[in-house]
Amino acid sequence: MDLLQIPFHFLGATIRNNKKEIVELTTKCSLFQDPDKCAEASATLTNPQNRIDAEVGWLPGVTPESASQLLTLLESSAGNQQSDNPSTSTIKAQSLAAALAALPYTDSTTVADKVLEVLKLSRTTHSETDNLDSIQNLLGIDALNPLSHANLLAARISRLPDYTAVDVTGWILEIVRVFEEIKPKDILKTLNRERKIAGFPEIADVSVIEEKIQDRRRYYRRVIRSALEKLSDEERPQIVMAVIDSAVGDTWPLLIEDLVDVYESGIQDFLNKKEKNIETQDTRVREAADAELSDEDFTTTLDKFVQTVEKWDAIAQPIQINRKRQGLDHEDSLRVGKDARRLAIYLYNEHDKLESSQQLIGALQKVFAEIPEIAEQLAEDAEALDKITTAEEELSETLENLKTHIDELQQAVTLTNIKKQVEALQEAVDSGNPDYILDSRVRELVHAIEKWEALSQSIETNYTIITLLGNVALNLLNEHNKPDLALQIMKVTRDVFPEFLGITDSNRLTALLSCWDEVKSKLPMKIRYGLLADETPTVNAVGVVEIPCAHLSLLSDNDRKIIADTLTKAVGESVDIEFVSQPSDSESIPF
Amino acid sequence: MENFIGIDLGTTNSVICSYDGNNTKIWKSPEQNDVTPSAIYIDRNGNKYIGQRAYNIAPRSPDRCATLFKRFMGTSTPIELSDANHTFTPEECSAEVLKALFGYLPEEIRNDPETGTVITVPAAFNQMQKNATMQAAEMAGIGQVALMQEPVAAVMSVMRTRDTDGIFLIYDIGGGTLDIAIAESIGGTVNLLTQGGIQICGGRDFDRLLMDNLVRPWLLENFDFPEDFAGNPDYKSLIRLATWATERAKIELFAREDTRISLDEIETRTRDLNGDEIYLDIPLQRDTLDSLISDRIQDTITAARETLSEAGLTPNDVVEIIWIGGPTHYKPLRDKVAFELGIRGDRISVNPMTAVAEGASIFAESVDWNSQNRGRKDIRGQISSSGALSLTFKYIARTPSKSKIALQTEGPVPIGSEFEVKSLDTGWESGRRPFKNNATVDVTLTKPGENTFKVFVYDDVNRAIAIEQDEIIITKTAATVSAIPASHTISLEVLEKSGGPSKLLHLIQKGEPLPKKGTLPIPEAGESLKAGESVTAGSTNALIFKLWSGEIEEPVTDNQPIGLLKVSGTQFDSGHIPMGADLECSYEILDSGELKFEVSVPCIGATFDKVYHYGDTKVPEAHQITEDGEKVQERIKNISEAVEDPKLEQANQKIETALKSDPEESDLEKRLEQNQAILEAKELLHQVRKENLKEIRQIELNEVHTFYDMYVRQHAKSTEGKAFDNLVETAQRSIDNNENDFEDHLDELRGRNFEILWRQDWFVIQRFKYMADSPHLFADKDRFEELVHIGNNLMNHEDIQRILSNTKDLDESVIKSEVVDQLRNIVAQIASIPRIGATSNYDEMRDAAINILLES
Repeated sequence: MDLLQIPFHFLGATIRNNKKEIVELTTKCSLFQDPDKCAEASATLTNPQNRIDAEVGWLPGVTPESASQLLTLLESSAGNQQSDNPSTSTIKAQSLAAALAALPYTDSTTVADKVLEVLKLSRTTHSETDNLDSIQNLLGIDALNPLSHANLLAARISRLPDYTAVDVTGWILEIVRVFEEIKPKDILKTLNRERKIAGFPEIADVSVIEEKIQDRRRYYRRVIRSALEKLSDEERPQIVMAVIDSAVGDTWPLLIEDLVDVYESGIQDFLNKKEKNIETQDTRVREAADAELSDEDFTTTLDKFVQTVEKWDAIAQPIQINRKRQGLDHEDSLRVGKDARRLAIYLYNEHDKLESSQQLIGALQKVFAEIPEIAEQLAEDAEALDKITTAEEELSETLENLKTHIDELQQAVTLTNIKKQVEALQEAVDSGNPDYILDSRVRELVHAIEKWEALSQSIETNYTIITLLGNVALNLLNEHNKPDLALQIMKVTRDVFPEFLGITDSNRLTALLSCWDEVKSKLPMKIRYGLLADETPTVNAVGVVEIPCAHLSLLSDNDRKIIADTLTKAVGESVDIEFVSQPSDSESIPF
Repeated sequence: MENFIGIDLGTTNSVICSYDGNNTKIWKSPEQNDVTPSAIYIDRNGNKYIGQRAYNIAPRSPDRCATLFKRFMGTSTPIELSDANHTFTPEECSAEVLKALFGYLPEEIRNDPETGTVITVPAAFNQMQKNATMQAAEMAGIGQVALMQEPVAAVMSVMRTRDTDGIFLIYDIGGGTLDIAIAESIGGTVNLLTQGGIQICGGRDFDRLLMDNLVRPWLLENFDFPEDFAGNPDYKSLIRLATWATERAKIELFAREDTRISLDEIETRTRDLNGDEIYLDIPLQRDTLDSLISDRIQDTITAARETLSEAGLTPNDVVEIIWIGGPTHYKPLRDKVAFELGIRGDRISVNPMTAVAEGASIFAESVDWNSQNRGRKDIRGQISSSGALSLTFKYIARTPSKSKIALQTEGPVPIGSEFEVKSLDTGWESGRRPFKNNATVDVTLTKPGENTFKVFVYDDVNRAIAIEQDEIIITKTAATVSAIPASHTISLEVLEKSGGPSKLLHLIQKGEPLPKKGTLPIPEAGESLKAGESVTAGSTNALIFKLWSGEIEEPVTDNQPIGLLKVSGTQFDSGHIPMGADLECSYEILDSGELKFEVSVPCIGATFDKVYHYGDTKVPEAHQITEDGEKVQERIKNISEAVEDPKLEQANQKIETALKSDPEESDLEKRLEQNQAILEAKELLHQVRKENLKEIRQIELNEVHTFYDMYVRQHAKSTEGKAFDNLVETAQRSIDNNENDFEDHLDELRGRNFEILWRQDWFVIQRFKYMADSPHLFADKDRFEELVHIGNNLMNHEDIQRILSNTKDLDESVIKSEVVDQLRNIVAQIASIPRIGATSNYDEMRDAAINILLES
């Protein structure tokens, strides 16, 4: 029951009035108010047992004068009226100051300091609500016993001028804190002290007080519920989480548990609506998968689903945390989690979307971390999917290895074959076999070369074969004057090893090899005779033309440029060149 | 002039009294007695006699007489006058007595339509009994009638004679019931702080004790009777006569130290098996009576102590005991009660026999007979004046002591104006008072009834200002009761969630002030009331609203059923009430404790009001009483193993008394007593549980936790283990904070134990085997055999999954009340469960533990 509805307030009685005084007040009250209500209030206050509810709901331990003034301020704050008259505010503030100064069980210096603050505030703002907000500061100190403090806080929460998320959070945190400080035995002592003054029999059993405090707790819960209901569905989870975050350890203050309970009952409709959104998104994901949308479009749809679940979870989060702490299930979360999980399974089982399924499971693991049953299942699912991924990868790797092995075997056979063919050709050439036999040998060689897979082999191996073929081609060209045969070999070498030759046009390679002398003749004498070695340039495995130099260190940049330009002009296009050191037979000194 | 009548409709005697505003008057019977026995006799010619004559003849012609029918009010027990070929209902019998009493009044009072009558009912009366009393009044054609509780009437009577403040204990013991009331007088206004009592406890019980312990044994010792003497119709008359003689002797003992229970042969007109004429000549001393009624008196003392405790009072707070009712004439009773309670009780302030009727007539004067619900007259009056001066004088129009007059003005107040109040009866003057808003004047009332005052208003030059209304009449009442506490908690049974356990939603709690109006649900409490199933117009589906009287939360069925209101499809022509539809209940509980209850269903725009079914409330048969008693005894035994509380012994004694009865007991009154004893035992059990709730809950929690640790945890997943531990902590917090959800958590914990066990093959198989060997657990025998047959086949194939499914089907067929017991039994068979505490013998350990489990 609200402070202003307690029979004490209704009758204008104090906690220290005796029975006769109460009856007198009742008679007076009956003149101006509903006599039945006055009689009911009187019956409550004069009955030693029924009175306890009113006592516990009131301001026990506060002097009647202070109580009266506090309630006057509370009543005046209900309309949230701005005071135009500064003197009124000052009067009220002064009354407040006087009231607070009269509070028992306080350090008077501290109270006086606070009172001064209040006076200053009231003089400057002229607002009654500011006065009451100043009470908030004052109520933070130990001026009141926790029960009276909590009752005032509850009354205040019911009369906030504005219900903003920040304000409501602050007030709830305060009442949560204060409620934890209420000790039934202390309340019993306080009440019996008051009863002694009022002439009522003492309360013997503390269990009665415990019961009444639980009744007050239910009232505070209702007040909190009303405050929450004044905020939007979006703000409420934030407030509740903020309050939950203030709790230390696993043991929550009782009112935090109550807060989550009232939050849960109030947010249920909103949660249900959000759950319907999830169902809609779920259907869309399935449809997208069934329609085999592009990866990008599908991912967009899936992301939307995840966002919807995350939004739902943000609302359900306080409830999940509470239930987990209590060891209980949250049926809605179980349902949503299981449905979402089923979607992930569907994506993999029906559409082989392993990655999407893993992505979804990963997101759900974060969302449903507070739901042990779901978290466990998701962890198992994630593990299972990881194993599938690993197994697929391993299988793929095995297949790859197998393929490589087969390739290697194939290549090994091919390499041997090439070597054999080269040997056979060389032998035939050296033996002076007729052309038709040489043709046949060249054809077999070319056939063997064509089977070679240059890109899957090491550079060294490729280079070995290129060198072998280059040598045999040169031999045919230079030693045996068989350019056609040489060309056939060079052509197939070019086709099989284009990356390694660097020159894709066999004509150009031929031109290079055949016109080196001409190229050399165009070079300055100094370079021709002084710097270049006698050897013919070669092409290495990566297609770079290696020009042997006798005195590499003396080859200036300009010299290199001249050589490159001349060669380029001769070949017809830019060629990669590298100058390699190779001393000449002659010891001639370059000039 | 209005006449106000009060009727004390007692179990053995009734009284009628009138009040004219000044004095009360008891209207005597034709025999010139203040009291009229509540007895009916029909002679051979069909003539009906009510009162003394019927009472005198009753012992000799028991089958032509009806007595003690008040004890059966609210039940459908027939009152058979077999020799007269007539059967009454208890209401009809009461109606006859009421008619007879009303007939004592002068015709001008009887026939005056303004006459209002208050009939008293015991505070311990439940709804059905109250409703039955109203019905009886209607049948008697009394006219305007209201009920009120006897203690309130007693208080009104007492306080009328006292002018000192203080707290009093009213000890009202009549023929059939005991009512205890704690009332406080403050300045003439009386507050009833609390009430208690025992529904079946009165002079009648003393008679029975004397009969059972003195007279019957004497008869059996001195004469030769057949074995079925108690129930033999040949001796029915003898027993009635003996009872009558016993009562007569008992009453004589009120005035003397000793007497004799005597009946001569001519009176008895009965012979024994030997042909000897039977007579009675039994000496009776006070000591004998005292010792026989000692336990019963002790019960009344206990009831008084409980009532005091409920009021938060000790004997030191009470000024004295006020004695009401015939048995309080017995000084040893008064002395014992006063001594044991430690409260002064040496005076008889009012006439114990007529005080209740007198108080009822005084109360009748305060009733607003023009209102439908017989509320109290408005105590406030006012006179107004408009014109130059707009003013109102408000005053307390009805008060037992001083009154107040207050001035309220509207508009500007002329400066210097004054007002004055003068008594037209005594000439008293208040003196001039400044004319200002809310100014008050205290006035003293010198005479009972109407006191007339006049108000005068003067301007600033002392000229009288005429006002339209200037006369004020204030009634000095004999006494005013400002608050009547509800004697019972009345609740509506609801489910917290579909399929969940029942809980009680209180309409009013014991001790709350009457009258009370309210609605359910209470929006401020965040409650909502929803339909638990759907009902379509024309269908036989129904929503049942069960109302209970009592405070026992668990199980709800331990309370007294009041009745039920049905919202059936046959009661509305069109529309549909879907499951989950909002419902609204509104109720009113009158001063007398009568309940009016109605249900609105917004979705079909209908209200179902005053559809009030009593249900079949016959006095239970003897074998039903025995069965019920045995169950309660078992519960007492189980709870005794967990806690020690003297109330358990009391409860046990009550049950033993009830169970001592003859299973063929045909005496209705005796069965009623036994049934009442069982109800009282249940109430004691509830109190023990409530007072030892923490300990009991702690034991229950420890047991389920230990069980889990020992037998289930090893099979649980780690998340299940953690969740279980968290829930144990939650349950522990419920215990520490005394919250209502502990039992839900306990059920959840137990459920989880078995959920995990169900996953174990060995458990499934053992469970199947156990159920297969227990056909008595199953209502549907065919289904049982079918499932057992399937299960046996599956066993052969070792198909554990299908065995599980089949076993669960079996499990669902078990008569539900046995499920938890049997589950525990099977687990106890599988694994030895050590008792909490040490015993050495395995079987004893297991059985003791099972008992603990069964109890929880």
